[in-house]
This record gives sequence, C-alpha cells and structure tokens, in this order.
Amino acid sequence: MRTRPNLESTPNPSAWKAGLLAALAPTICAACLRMQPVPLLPPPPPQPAPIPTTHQPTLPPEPKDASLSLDPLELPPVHHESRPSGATLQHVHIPTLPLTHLRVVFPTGRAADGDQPGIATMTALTVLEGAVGPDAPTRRQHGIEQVAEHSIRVTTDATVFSFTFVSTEAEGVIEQLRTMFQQPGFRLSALQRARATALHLLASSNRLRSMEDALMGVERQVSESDLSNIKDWHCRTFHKTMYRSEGARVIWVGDVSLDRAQALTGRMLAGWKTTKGDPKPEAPRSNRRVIRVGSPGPDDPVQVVMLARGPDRDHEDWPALWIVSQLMTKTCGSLPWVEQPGAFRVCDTVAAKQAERWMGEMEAKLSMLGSSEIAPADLDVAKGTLVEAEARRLGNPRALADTLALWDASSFDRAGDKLSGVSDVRPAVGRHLTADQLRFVVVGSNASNAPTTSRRP
Amino acid sequence: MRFAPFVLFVIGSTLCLGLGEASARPGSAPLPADSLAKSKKRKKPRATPAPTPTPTSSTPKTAVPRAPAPVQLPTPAPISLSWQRHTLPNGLRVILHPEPHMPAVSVSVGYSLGHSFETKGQSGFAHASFRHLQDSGTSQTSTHIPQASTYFGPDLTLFTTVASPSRLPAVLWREARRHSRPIDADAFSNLRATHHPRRFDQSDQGARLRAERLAYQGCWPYGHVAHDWTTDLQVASADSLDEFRRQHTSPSWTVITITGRFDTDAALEHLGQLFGPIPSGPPKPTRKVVLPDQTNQRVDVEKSSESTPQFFLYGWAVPPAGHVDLVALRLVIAMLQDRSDALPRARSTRLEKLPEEAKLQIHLDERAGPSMLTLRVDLPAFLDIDRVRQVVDDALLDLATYGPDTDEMLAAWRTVQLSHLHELSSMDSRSALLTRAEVLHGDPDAVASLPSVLSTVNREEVRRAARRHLTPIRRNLVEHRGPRVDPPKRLQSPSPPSKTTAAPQKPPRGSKQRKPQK
Repeated sequence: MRTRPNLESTPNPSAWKAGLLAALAPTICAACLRMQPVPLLPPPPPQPAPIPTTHQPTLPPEPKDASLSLDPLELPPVHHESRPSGATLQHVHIPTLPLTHLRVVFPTGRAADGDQPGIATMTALTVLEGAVGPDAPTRRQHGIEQVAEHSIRVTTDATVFSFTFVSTEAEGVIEQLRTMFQQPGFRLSALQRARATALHLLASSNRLRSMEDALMGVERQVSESDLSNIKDWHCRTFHKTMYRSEGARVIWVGDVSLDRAQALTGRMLAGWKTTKGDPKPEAPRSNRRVIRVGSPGPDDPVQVVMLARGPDRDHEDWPALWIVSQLMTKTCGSLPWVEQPGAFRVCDTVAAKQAERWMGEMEAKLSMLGSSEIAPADLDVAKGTLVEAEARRLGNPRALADTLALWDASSFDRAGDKLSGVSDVRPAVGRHLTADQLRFVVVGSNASNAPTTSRRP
Repeated sequence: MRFAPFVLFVIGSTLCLGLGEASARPGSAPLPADSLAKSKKRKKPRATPAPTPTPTSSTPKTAVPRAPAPVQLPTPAPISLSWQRHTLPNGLRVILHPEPHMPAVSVSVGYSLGHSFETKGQSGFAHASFRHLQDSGTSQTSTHIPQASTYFGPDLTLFTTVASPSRLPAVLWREARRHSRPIDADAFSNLRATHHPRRFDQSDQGARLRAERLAYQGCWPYGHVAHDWTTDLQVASADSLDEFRRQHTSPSWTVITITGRFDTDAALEHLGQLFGPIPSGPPKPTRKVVLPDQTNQRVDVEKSSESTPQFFLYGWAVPPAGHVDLVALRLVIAMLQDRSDALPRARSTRLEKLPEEAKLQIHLDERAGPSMLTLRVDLPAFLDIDRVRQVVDDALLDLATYGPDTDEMLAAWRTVQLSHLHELSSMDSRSALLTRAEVLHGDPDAVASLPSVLSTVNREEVRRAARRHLTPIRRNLVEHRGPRVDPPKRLQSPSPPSKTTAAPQKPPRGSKQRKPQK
C-alpha cells in the first residue's frame, strides 16, 4: 500500500544541509584535486660551493705596443710561372683543409666596352650562366653550381671568375670550366638570366663601379636600355675577340698540389683557339673632377669618395699612400689595395648638401699631410691598425685568392715590413696625390627605385 | 531430401555471382592481363612505343611514400686538424692548433656561461656577466688590437680575436684581464647605468628570443630567456653577481683555443703566467636536459595598425649538438635556404614560389640542451603573409612526406660540406668552432668528423628528421603583421580586361553585314 508523503511537514534544515553536503562532497573533492597547483619546473640543481673572494690574481703589466715590433705579415709561399698556353699560373698550397679556391682572370674589363656599354659584363655573366643549371640541348643534367660555389667580378680592366670547391672534385670542375670558357653556348635563357643579374648589379654596386669608372675617366654610365640592347651575337663576338688564354691568370689557393694545379690548368686551357678581332673603339674619356650618380635630395645620405689612380702596383710609394688613407678616414669598407689595384681612396657618408664641404675638407687635410710632418705616435697607430686589419683579412684563404687575382703577391707580401719602413709620407703625397690627380665620386640613392605604398580602400 | 530444380538454380546463381564479386574486389586473385589489354581502345600505332599493360598486381589508390632509393654520395673530404690539448693545474683546458703558413693568430676563449646555468633568483645574471666581460676586454695601451667578436648563448659564451702573430701576448693579456676583472660596486652601477631600458623582444634578435620562450616552456634550465635588467638583478648586489661570474668563468669551466702562426711553448708559458694563478673552482656539474613533448603549436602574434614590414618566424626545439638528427636537419636547411652564390639571390627549388621581395633566413643554433632551429621570412607590407606562410608550409610538408630527391640530396650534401669547410678555413671561426666543440662535446674532433657523418645520412633519415622535428605541432610561431597595402606601381600587374565590355551587337535583321567566316 502506498503512503502519501506528508506535505504539511516542514523539512529539517540540518538534515537538508547534511544531504546537500553529502551530495556535493564528491564534486568538492574532485574540484580540490583539480585545484592543486600544477607541478612547477623541476627543482633546480643545487648550487655549487661559492668561490672564496680572497684569491684575486694580479696580472703582470700589459705588453706595450712600443715594445712589440710590427709583424712582417709574411704570406705563404706563392709559386708563379708562365704556362705554354700563354697564361700565368699562381699557386699557394694550404693543405689544412680539402678546400680549393680557384680564380681565372681575363685582362678584359669595362674599359673594353667601347661604344657598347655593358658588353663586357653581359658577356662574362652569360658565359657563367651558360654553365649553370641543366641544359636540355646538351643533355646536361646539372651545371657547375652542383660542384662549386661560383661568382664573378668585372672591374675596369679585368674579369675575375671565382670558384670554390672541395679539392677531390677539382677534375670535374675543370672539365666544366673548359667547356664554359672555350665553347660557351650563349643561349637565350643564359642571356636572360645574365641580364637580370646585371640589372641587379647595376642597382647594388653603384659606388664601387662609379669609383672604378672615375679612375679610368670613363664618361658613360651603363643604363638598363644599354643592357637590353645587348644580344647573344654581341656577346659571342666579344668573347671570340677578347677571351683568350694569352694574358689570362689562373690562381690556385688550397689543398691542390702544384703538379695537379699545373696539369689541371693545362687541361682547362688546352686547345683554346682564339680569333684576333678588330680592337673595339675606346670608350669616350673624360677628365671630370666630380662624378655624381643618382639624384638624392639635399638631406639624403650620399657616399662620397676621394680617389686617385696612384703609381704602378709594385711602386715603393704604396705603403706611404696606405698610411695616408688610414690617417684621413676609417670608414672605407675595405682596404684600398683590395678591390681596385692602383687606387688610393678615402670614403665617407654625408648628407648630400655637405658633399662639397667634405671634398674641400679632404683636400685641405691632404694638403696638410703633404706639407707637415706627422707625429710619430699617429704614424705608429696608423701602421699598427693597417697591419692588424691586413692580418685579419689574410687569415682567410679566400681573401688571399681574391687579392692575388688583382695584385701581384710581391705587392702586399711582407706588408708589415714595408709599412715599418715608412717614416715620412710627404714625398709620396707630393708625387701622387696632387690636386689635379684627385677625383671625387658622389653616389646617392636613386629615388625612382623606392616602392610607393598606399592604403587599400 | 530432394530440392526443387528452381531452388538449385537460385543457389547456384548466387554462388556464381558471389565468386564473381569476390574476384572483382581488390586484393583478390588478379585478372588475366589479356582481358585488360583487350578492354582498351586500340589506337593507330604510332612511332611512340605501345603503352605497357596495367600491372596485374593490385595497388591501393592512395599514394604511399615508398622507401627512397639510396643515393650514391661522393667520398667525403677528409679533414685532419692536428691540435694539442693541455690542461693547466687549475683545470683550464687549452687547445693549440699551430699553422705556420698563416700570417695571423686567432685566440678564442669559451666560458660555460649562459642563462641555462641560472638557478632560482639568478634570472639575468648570465647576460649581465656577459656584458661585464665584454666591457672588460679593452686594453689600456694597445689601441689597434681589434675588439673580440662575441657569442652569447644558453650554454656558452665566446670571445674570439684575430691579430698579427706578434700581438699574441697582448691578446692573451687582454683575455686574462677580461677573466679576472671583478664586478665591484662601480662596475655594478656602471652596468645598471648603461642598461638601456628597451624591450629586447623588439630588437633584431628579439623574434628569435620570443620563439625560444615558446619552445622551451617547461624545460629546465632552458625555460627562461632572461635579458635586460630583471627583477632578480634589481634586488641583487654586486657581490652576488660577481660570485656568479667567478663561478662560471672558473678555469675548470673555461677553454682557450689558439690557432695560426705561433710558438706552442711560448704560448703555453704566457698562458701559465696569466691564467695559472687563477684558483680552480668547483667542477662543472653534469646535467641532462630533457625537453617535454610539445603537443600543439604555440603562437605569439603581434598586429600593428601601421604599415610596417612584416615577418613571421618558425622556431623548433630540435635535438642537442651531436645528435644524428641534427646532421639530417642541416641537410634540410640546405634544401630550403637560398643559393648564396647566385645574383640576384636564387631560391631553392622547394621555395621557388616564395615572392622575390621576401627575405628568407634559416638558422640552427646547436646547444648542449635542445638546439634551436628558426626559419624567418621578412616581407614588405604589400605581400599577403598568409599566402607566403602557405608556401613554406607546403614545402615542409612535402619534405616530411616524400623526402628529397636524388639531385636535391646531392646538392644539399655538397652545400653543407662546403659551408662547413668555409667555416673552418677562416681562422677566427675555426678557433671558435674548436672551442665550442670542446665546451659542448668535450672533443674538438667533432668538428672534423662532420663530412664523414654527413655521408652516412640517407634520404629516408632526412624525411624522418623533417617529419619528426619540423611538424606544425611542434612549431612555435612569432609573427608581426600589419595592414595590407597596395603593391608599388611597378609591381602591379596590368589590370585584366574588363568583363563589362559590351558584347558585339548582332546586325539587325535584313542587314547586309556578312557573318564572320569560321
């Protein structure tokens, strides 16, 4: 029998609470468990015992610069010989690592452009691009980029092809270079890639190129339309007439023995048939004192360079000129004898409206150096700085190969000794840095290249 | 019992049909090849050879990555670096690598100093000590010995100087001064005064540090990246900071490497005079750092309202230095990074769809604990950051799924080997590498063994390493994006022809205009 609940009875509050508590107890316990703090990072390792502070070693006195003579900066032995092909071979054996730096230099640069600005650069780039990547007509699977790092540099009077590879792959590299130099394809695809690279170089290396052209008195600057007008047959003709083994220089720095370097050089240049073409007319020369590149605003930064051609590479006045360059400014990106042989230069970055004033200040400072004696302490500081910078640079075999590509080893071998022998720079200034020998280059940013931005509607 | 013929017929039909269906299912007995060849529509024979018949073995429809064929790698270039190890009585380790034909000398000093050694209450001490060491490396009189190049990481601090050989005593003296100069009250207040309050996470290195913060969560002792003047430093004293410095620059925790043209006996004598009197400290504790599993992508996105250059950075915590997967990851990096010898810079084939304006940087920092691999792309404001990310994601997914092909593997192997040899050929980086190998591995020969280890890594291992370590799940994303802007005019593609041009009107009926001839 069912019983009806007693609706009239009031519930017991304490029992109600006890029941509620009992019902919620599991939930509360679970929440407490969840609320336990997340385990923190594991405890750190115990700290070691502190070091007593009573022991403070006293250092001996610092070695004085005056007591330390300048390092001679002697280069590793450089072997130099003429090859039957007419090329010159330079070899430096550095057996520590199985790495080889190869430079192939042709005595043909931008000065040979003649009435076709940019042809030397385009030809060099097309020759190199023709050896890069797969080539369906020749059934080539891959190019030289698979075995060697490669780069190219076209100066005013030379074209330098640079390759770096593992020494064990030298034979494969030379086979590719033999074809590249002697039988370049000048295909359209290679020409197009070369043009893109040349345009990139046009935009990025304005200062260096302008400096070199100013030294040579080259008036005309290469433009985009000049590069667009160069066709494959132009490059082919230029290659046939200007590229030859006679006069070329091949530099080996690395883990390749002399015998092997000689054999590989012979293999690369053997059977190179060249045709003697008509010499190209010289580019129009100018003796403009100031060359301006770009169209900067008055407050825009510009790179200003004062430069002079200087004497021949092996002239005894070069160490004094290096010291003068060091005394005048420290802002040049590299030492003067690295990038352009025979170039004394001083560079800085100023606002465009101050460029003229900078030129005047540099001329006045140069005049002062040419007339007043330099304090011995300043002379020692300049020499020491140059020696240390050169030691750092030559600590890399790649830099040694790059320098040998443009300079004879005798020019900078034992540079420390040569600098030590300089006591007075005035005669060198008077001979090579007179007012009529100086040139100035002002390179500003090209405003038309800057991208324009606008908000989306 | 007799069955009706009709029933027998039904049963037999059912059996026949069932057998037929079973034979049509995949995995069943193969059909004869003739039947398939006959089912194809025969075409007129041409010069090209006839297509081969469909293979009779059944294959699943979905492509399964097969084990890639082994790649025949060239013989690795042997590296033999002759070096000598000496240990001073106070525990200082010295590695001498003479090279008489080089015109310079390089000195690299490595300290076990980094934020991974900081305990509770020492946050920021390592970086402050590093700054003090950096400031202490100035000579009193020599004005033309160059400043040392520096490296500061979680496990290691390096100071490397290249100088002419005659300046070796001066360089060693400067390093000894750097080592011994205490952090007194003046130096401490100078550290505080020269600290520029800025958000380090907005600096050039900031994005990478933010990615490290994300990647090393829950990982002691890598879990914090403390720079700038932290709270612990604000309450610390000069003595406590100096004690930390002395402990982590004690001789038993320090390695000095000298390479280049020098006399080994004279160098040892100088080192003994300058570093010998330093008291030996406690031995360096051994520790094992375990990175907890990361199960989801971690994100740190910053949105800007101004039109600024954008970037995104992927960071992954990868195995420590010496792990075989790290060698495979080096190959992955070579497959993704731009070709540095091409002008203009050429993309790798995997990332050739990356826009020309995007700048790609990939960096691997090998450490004693979990190493850090970062991939950063900087792009101008007019590029769609999501689309660029998709290009990178697709490249990584393809690599993790199918692995590299033969040419790619060969090219990457050559690139890594050449890059390693380049690093070793430069004197300053060679001494730094030897020091790092000694501090992290206890064995400088690890530097020379990389080419031979490289040649043992195959395509499958590269695929596995990419799949295991570079997945989106284990990725840490740091991003800075701004509002979209229009591209520059010279980059805008010509507008497509308008679709609203009026259709050519038909000539009215009865006109004498001719219909266009087909």
